[in-house]
Amino acid sequence: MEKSNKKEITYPKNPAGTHLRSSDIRNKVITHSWWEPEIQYAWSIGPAMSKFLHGLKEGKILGIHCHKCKRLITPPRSFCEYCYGPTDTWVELKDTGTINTYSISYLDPNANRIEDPILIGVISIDGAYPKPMGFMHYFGEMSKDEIKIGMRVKAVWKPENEREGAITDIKYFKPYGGD
Amino acid sequence: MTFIEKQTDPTAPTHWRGNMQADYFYSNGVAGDKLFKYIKNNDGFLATPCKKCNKVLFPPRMYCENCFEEIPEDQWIQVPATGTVRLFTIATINAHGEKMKEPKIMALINIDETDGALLGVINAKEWEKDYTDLKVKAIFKSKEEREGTLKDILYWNIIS
Amino acid sequence: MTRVCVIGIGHTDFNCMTPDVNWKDIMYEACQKAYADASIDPRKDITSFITCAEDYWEGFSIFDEFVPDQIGAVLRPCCTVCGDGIYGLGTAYMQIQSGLMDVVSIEAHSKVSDLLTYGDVMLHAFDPIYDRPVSGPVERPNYSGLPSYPPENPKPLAGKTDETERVHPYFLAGLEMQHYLRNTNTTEEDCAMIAVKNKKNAFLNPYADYEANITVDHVMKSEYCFKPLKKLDISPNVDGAICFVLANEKITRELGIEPIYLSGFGWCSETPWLSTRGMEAEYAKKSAAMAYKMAGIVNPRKEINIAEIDDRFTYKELQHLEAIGLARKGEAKELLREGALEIKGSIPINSSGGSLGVGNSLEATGLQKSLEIVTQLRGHAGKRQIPDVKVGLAQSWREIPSGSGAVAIFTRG
Ligand SMILES: [Zn+2]
Ligand SMILES: [Zn+2]
Repeated sequence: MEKSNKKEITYPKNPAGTHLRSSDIRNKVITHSWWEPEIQYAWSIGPAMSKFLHGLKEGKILGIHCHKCKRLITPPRSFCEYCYGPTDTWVELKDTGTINTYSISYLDPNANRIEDPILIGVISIDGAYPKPMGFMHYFGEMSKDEIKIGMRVKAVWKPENEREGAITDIKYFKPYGGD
Repeated sequence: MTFIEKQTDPTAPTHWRGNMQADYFYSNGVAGDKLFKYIKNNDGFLATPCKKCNKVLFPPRMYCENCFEEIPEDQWIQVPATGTVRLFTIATINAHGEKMKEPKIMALINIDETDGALLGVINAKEWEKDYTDLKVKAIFKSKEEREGTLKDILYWNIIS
Repeated sequence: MTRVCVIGIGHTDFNCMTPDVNWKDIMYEACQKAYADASIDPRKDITSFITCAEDYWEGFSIFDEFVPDQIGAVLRPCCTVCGDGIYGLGTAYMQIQSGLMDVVSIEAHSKVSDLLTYGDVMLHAFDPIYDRPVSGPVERPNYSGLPSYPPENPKPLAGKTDETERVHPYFLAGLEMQHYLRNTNTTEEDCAMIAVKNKKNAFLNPYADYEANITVDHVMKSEYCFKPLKKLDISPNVDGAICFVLANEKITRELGIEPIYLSGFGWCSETPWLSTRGMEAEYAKKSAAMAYKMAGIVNPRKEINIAEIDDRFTYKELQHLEAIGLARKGEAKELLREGALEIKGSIPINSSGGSLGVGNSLEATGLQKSLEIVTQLRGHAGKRQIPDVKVGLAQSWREIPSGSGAVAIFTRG
């Protein structure tokens, strides 16, 4: 740009603004507005997830093939993200697997400090490939000192009459000895 | 057909319910805070004149959106909580898309002695009347009840 | 500098609800069709991927993290524009013009049937301090002021009682319509004619979902929702997905594709303050001026053969027509009455059926407008084909409560 085109600009003299703490809101040092929106959804789940959730209700973990990429995908989906083609054949997988990674959470979902930590992580489900292939879930019947990457685990299911077609139809994954 | 398999069983699971809980406290900002603290104790408003644009901005701002100049604190002025109906509509549908028990007259009100405006509900029940250009006055909650939000204005009464 | 060409278009059918497929599935279908249309492999040939989406419409935070797989963008340059799909075209234009990218995919969609509380999400877009509280109560019963609900006192379900009643955000369109009618001497009957025209055009568009054989009388007798805005003045919501593929001219020629150029683009945002906004669609005027300049259009009324104009509310089509200079102020109704805006008229507007006939597809609206223009320029519009179309314009607005919009101009090579 030509130098002569440059404009003289001014700027706010107090750009730093005003320092505020949340206590200033609580103690009504400053006024504030508030709003609680009503935001609810009923997300369509599509054919692949529908079949998967129906499988969970029946106590089965389902996977789907992409023969082109030699993948057996779970949770299943209508298309393969690598070759961008449709997925093809459904397979029932075992409800066992290996801990791919985990975390020991000392915070509950509302960020409250808890004594007894939540064990959570990603499980590579047996039969699905290439590894790692699987999903996230809780771990139980093991302590924070016992859990480790590579540990063999098996799903603990809710009783059949309590299952509703949700990933939480599996309560958690427990240590699994037999192969 | 882009997929090999489609959903053909209408009784199969089709959806998953959930909500997004997103509740907010919004600080009113430096200019807003000044206005709402004033409203807590006065039945009137504050406005900010931009000398450069020769416009009186309402709601009041820290800076003018037109020339981008800061508006100095000593230039704030008091204005009455009265105005003229610029536009109105008779709303009969609520946010859920259902018919409301009673229509509400929603208006954009030009605030007196300013170049600004404010949305408001007109306290009237004549659904055929033309409210355009009528003079209106803000009716506030009692001073004890005021919280320092726009909700301190209950509605607007027609004064002529 | 290269020119930017449309090399592929793809879309799903538009339906009032789509319970059999999820949002990923409709995006995949639209993209797969666009890539097939362009005869390209997205995993190899596309250099950049753009989606246009808004978290609250979708129902999860950071929606951009959830898009790469269904558009073919895993481990590729990918970004999300939080806005109407037409802004994606502008972003792609810049990426290609800069030489950074050769082939760009742009996707936008609506899965609004997943959203149970459309009105409240839209209200959430209003200014929380000065505008939102006017619509009704700011708090719901049981609201304790705490940031979350304890298990013993869970969030109440969608409020339908008097205390929780908030006015639908479309009241803002009622206010603006009143302003437009008064300032242009346009009548409610004129607006009704827009609904009749667009819903009739939709009969000729196989993917439209709200075609109807109605008369001005039907519209006039439909109930007032936000007087003077009536039920049939409002475009009903629809699900659907659209994908565009843009490329530089060299690649377009190599693929043996007859180029359709994105020859002009402009965008503009007005102040968010309702107190100082003009309510005259200044955003459309300025974005059109920018696009005309880029496309070298001096006399839009003479040079543009066809246009798709944002018609989310009937009056908006007339207001936008005047704002973008296809009609003088107050003249849009005359053109409408003369029949000039019909498919067989001198300046056909919304031959696709527009949002009134196709449905309001939220962020996909701008791409739906562009889709019709490109289809017409290709000569693929079937029974609604307009002869000798060389230059077409697509315009969209970011809907209530925004004062933002964009214009794209397409030219046949
Ligand atoms: Zn594959
Ligand atoms: Zn100024």
